[in-house]
Amino acid sequence: MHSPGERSAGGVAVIGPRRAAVELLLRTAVLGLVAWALWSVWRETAADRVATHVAFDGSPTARTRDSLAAHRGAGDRITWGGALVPLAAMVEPVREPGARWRVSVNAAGAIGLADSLGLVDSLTADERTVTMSAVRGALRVASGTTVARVVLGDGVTPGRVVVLGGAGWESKFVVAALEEAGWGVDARLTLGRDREVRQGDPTPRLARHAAVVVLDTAIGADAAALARFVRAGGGLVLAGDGARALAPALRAVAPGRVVASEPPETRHFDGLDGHAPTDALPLHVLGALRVDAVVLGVRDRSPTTAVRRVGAGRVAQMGFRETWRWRMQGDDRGQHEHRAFWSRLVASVAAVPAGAASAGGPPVPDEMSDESAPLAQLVHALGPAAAEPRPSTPRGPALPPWVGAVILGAALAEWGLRRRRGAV
Amino acid sequence: MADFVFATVQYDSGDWDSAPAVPANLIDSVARYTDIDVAPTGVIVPLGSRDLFKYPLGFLTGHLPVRFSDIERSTLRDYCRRGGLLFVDDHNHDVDGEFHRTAWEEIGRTVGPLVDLPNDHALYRSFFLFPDGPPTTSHELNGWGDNLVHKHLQAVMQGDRIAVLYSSKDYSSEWNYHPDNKRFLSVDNTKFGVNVVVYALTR
Repeated sequence: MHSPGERSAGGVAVIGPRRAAVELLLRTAVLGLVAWALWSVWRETAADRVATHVAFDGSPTARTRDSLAAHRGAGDRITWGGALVPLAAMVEPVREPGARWRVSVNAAGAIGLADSLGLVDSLTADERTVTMSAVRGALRVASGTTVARVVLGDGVTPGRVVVLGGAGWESKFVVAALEEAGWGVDARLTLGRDREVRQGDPTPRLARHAAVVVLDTAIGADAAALARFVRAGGGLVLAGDGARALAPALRAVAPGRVVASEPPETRHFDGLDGHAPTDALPLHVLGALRVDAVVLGVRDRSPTTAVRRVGAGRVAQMGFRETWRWRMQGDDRGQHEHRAFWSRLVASVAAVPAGAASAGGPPVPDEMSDESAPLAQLVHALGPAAAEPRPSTPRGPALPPWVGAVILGAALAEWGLRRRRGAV
Repeated sequence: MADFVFATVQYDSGDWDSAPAVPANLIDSVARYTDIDVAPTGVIVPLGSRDLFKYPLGFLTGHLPVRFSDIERSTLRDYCRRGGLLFVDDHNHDVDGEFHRTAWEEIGRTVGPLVDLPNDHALYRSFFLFPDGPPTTSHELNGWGDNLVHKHLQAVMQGDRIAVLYSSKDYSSEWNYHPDNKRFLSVDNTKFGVNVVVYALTR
């Protein structure tokens, strides 16, 4: 017996085209509804993923920031807000004794600096740079509730300085200024007739000395050794009469040469009101500078100081003479300024001990990782700050209830049709 | 301008010019024994003047009581702080003399306390060697003044540097003669003066 729309052909039931079309329609409807249901469920699940807004009342630690960034990378919706202000701190090693790091801060308003033991220093709105010699742990730089944290590394401990010159006030006070600034000084001051005053071991050696200061032209056989010292990485300062660099070996490394010399009588400290102290110093004017020389100081459009690299070292040529008068005849700040002038001049060429050229230092534990620009690093990790989103309203189920009934009914109908014609 | 100019310090009280031949004699010795660029004549510079700072070594002597004015005290204090060296010699060679008592007091309250300078100090080997400390003077050996041979000089130290060097040995009398007369001496008695100058220029 066959149902309507079927006929037998050789014992096999053959369905008519109408019935076949109905079965195909039902089968297609079931599959389509199932696919639509799955897609709807997936879409609702994706829409319901975690949405988090973090309101910071201070700078997050690197660990917190990186954790939120990881969630964001996994697809969670992370937004953030809070009163963080732009703040950046930078550390560079200093080659001068008594100050191992120079910390530069870019921020508006007052800045507090602290280490693990407490407040170290503070900067007013007009100050943005400070040198530091002793910091325990990482340095925290705070502006309001925003805190940057920088790791200072090992800093630099410069070697000693050799001063070569004649016995005279300039040599005496250059040695004094460098010693007062914290440099260890070895010196050899000539008195003539094979007589000299020695202090320490004044034979330049890179293992011991960072720089050599030459204050006199009469250094004779030392010139070739000084040139080798520079090429091997040492620093050389040709200053005052030493800037004339008459020895061929020194002329070969000097940034330039002295092209004119002012008589000492033309300059004096009396009536210096409003002028820089260096205006009272007689000068060997530098000229014929080499192409790789960099001019560091100018007076009346004449170069006073120039530096250049020679091999692995550096050479500075400074034309001011009788700088000791700055200390003795200057105003109340003269002694300090003279000391700082010489310390910086020597530091500009001083050799850096091997392995201390960068401020990076050894790897640090995670809690001390660098957070030198907290706001910029937060924006980089989580995007710009956003307003807190409004709470979402509750929603109904992802699929209307009838969808299941339709799928079930269509599947049963299609199954019933096939049962009636004896198909499996 | 010569690097070294010998400066005699003039002060308002006392007889600051009691040893007028000392500067020329020491200038002669410095030029004779060293290659230091020294001016052929010395200068006289008031203690209360800013000109004092042009001469980082000053020589002060006298017989009479010393009383510094306020400006002299202030200038001397600043002079020593900046690195100047004041060499003071008691022309009386008498620890009970007026100069010694008043100068000692003035220096003490202006710069700091005077203490004995060890006889192995660098001053005694800065150029000539004086292994026994400061050389004696004929005034000490002849029993004049306080009839003592002073074994030490005194100094006000600032760190390891001499700020004020004080002598009770009366070098002012010992060196107060024309340089040409050195030829009559078997040993030049101004050599210690060269040490003072060289020390001031190098330490």
